Amino acid sequence: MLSIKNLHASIEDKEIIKGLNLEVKAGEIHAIMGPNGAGKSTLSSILAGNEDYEVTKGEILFEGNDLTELDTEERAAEGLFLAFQYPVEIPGVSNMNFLRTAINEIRKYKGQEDIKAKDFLALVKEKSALVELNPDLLKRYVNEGFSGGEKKRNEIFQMAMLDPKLAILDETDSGLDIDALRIVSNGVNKLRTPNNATIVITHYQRLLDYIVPDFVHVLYDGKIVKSGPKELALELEEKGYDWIKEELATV
Amino acid sequence: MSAVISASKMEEFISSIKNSNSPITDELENLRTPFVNRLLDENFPTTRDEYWKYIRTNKIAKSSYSFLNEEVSNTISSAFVLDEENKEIDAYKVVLKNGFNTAHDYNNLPNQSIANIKEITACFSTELADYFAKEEDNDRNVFNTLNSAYFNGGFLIELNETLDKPLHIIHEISGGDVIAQPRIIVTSKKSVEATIIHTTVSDKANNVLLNGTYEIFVAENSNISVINIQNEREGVFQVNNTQAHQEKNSTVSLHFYSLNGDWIRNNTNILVNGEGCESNLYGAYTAINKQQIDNHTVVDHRKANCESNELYKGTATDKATVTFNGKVFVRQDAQKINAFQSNNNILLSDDATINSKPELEIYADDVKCSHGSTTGQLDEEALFYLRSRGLSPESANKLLVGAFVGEVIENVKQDVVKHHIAQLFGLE
Repeated sequence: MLSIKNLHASIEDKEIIKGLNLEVKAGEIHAIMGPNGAGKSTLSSILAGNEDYEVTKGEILFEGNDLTELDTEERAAEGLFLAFQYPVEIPGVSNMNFLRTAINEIRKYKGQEDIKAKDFLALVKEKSALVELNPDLLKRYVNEGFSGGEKKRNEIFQMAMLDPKLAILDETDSGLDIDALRIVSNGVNKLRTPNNATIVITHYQRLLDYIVPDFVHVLYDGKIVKSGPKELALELEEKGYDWIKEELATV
Repeated sequence: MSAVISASKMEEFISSIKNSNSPITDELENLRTPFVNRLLDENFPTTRDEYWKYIRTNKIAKSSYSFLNEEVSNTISSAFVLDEENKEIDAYKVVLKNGFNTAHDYNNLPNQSIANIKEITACFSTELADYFAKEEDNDRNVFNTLNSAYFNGGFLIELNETLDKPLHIIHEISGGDVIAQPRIIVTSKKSVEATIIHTTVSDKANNVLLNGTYEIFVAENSNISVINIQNEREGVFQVNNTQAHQEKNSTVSLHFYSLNGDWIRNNTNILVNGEGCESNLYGAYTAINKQQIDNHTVVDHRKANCESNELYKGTATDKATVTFNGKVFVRQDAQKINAFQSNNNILLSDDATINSKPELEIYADDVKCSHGSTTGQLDEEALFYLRSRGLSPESANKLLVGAFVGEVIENVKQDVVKHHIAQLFGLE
């Protein structure tokens, strides 16, 4: 589904991603872990199409298509979703209006008719229950005045509404208490199908107790330096990242 | 040899206006004579004049306007404030065509007095002279004087009791090199509530100057709102001179929603002449093409214990020019005044211009006043967030601009009118 080969990317001429390789297939959950400044959030920004970053080398194929040729909204329409680490507050734009517009724009891209008001409301009801999001919040402005947990639940709710092929969860666990973490994780797990895939970017192993990955990758200095099964996350939790740095130094 | 005295520029300007002017009563003639004389000494402002620095009047000054009293094509439906089923809202309706009164049911206002300003008779209890151009000096400008000297229609409205539905004044504009000068004076009895809506629509207009003067006298405990929807097409220059005068414990809310039209200048004045008053000024605008929209406001606090709020927000794109110049006076005896003034703009193109000048002039020492002005661009992070959910840049822009001016439109009390304005701004 996603194939990243020898990716190099920079911001303002500073290279952040330095030869990254990653293969994600349908049905899989991948976790990307790594110390601060390794390039985790940069990777998610690049995948979502943030124009501040420039891909200087390598390729990103999504369902066989060159992702870098697509604008942000086209990537969304093709089925890519980024759950933001810091969801943006947009005063004056109601959640419902925003989501209805998003769904209709994606449907238009696919040559489909606008969603019927009745179907939209039914979908909202079903998907908000999935992340235990109070429907009253949806009448409010996008993320405005939401608690940290509500913002993250709103991200997963949007994910559920848009039903992407590939979801990237960027530090979705940050700022969540244990209950919110469980709710958010439950939501993600319920959305899992053999046809979609998830990349979970996180600092901590904790989230991976709830969203169990098929693969764990260590991102360090712009590259994936180690990959392994889910047990790798436990090892990282226990030993930190220094042993990987040392391993790399001896090589 | 005899000296050749050439006509002044102003004499030249008013010559065709004078010629097309219809006769009026002696009483009115007496009222306006001082302004006819004063006008001859005045000139159109230029960009060298501080308060006219960013809006050009030279095209108006060079024009040769006359009055035109003829039928306007009946295709004008955008004037009507519509509900969600696109039905006209329930309002008392009067129509002015190029400033002239029409027979459009204006005597249907229950328990109110309304009269064609040019046909005021002695039995009308309000003395026109008591109100006509009473606050002229508060914002003396040539357009106001021009209206006082040569208004061609309008009303004197006495609000005797609360209006159960809005009074909708429709200004229909058409023709070439036409001037329309409506004059509307609204007075109220004590404890009256009313909403007045002005809509402007044009059809086949080519260089029309709509120069209206609207005087509002808000009596004790009364609450009057005036909502201006400026949605004319190209070819219209609009000057809106609104002067409100407040007595104690009264509320006035003046709204200006400027969408279309080539050139809009709003001279808005509130004189707060009683304690315990609330004064609200709202403006929202989206300027496109080479449009010029200029909001010039004055709130003059002369008495203590009052509050004024001013909120103007809008956008400019293409080569449009937007100006806000708001002044708040707090006179020496006007203690305990809360005055807030805010102007926020979004610049959507490199060639658009935004000028913002909030001003406070305070002579009292126990007041709470604030003013602020911002001009920026759309929030890049918010744009990215919306686009990452599949919204095209155009839709994302529209949502964000809508959210931006929506804060102003929220202040319209009547839901139907609010939705209508939101629709005009493309928010719904």
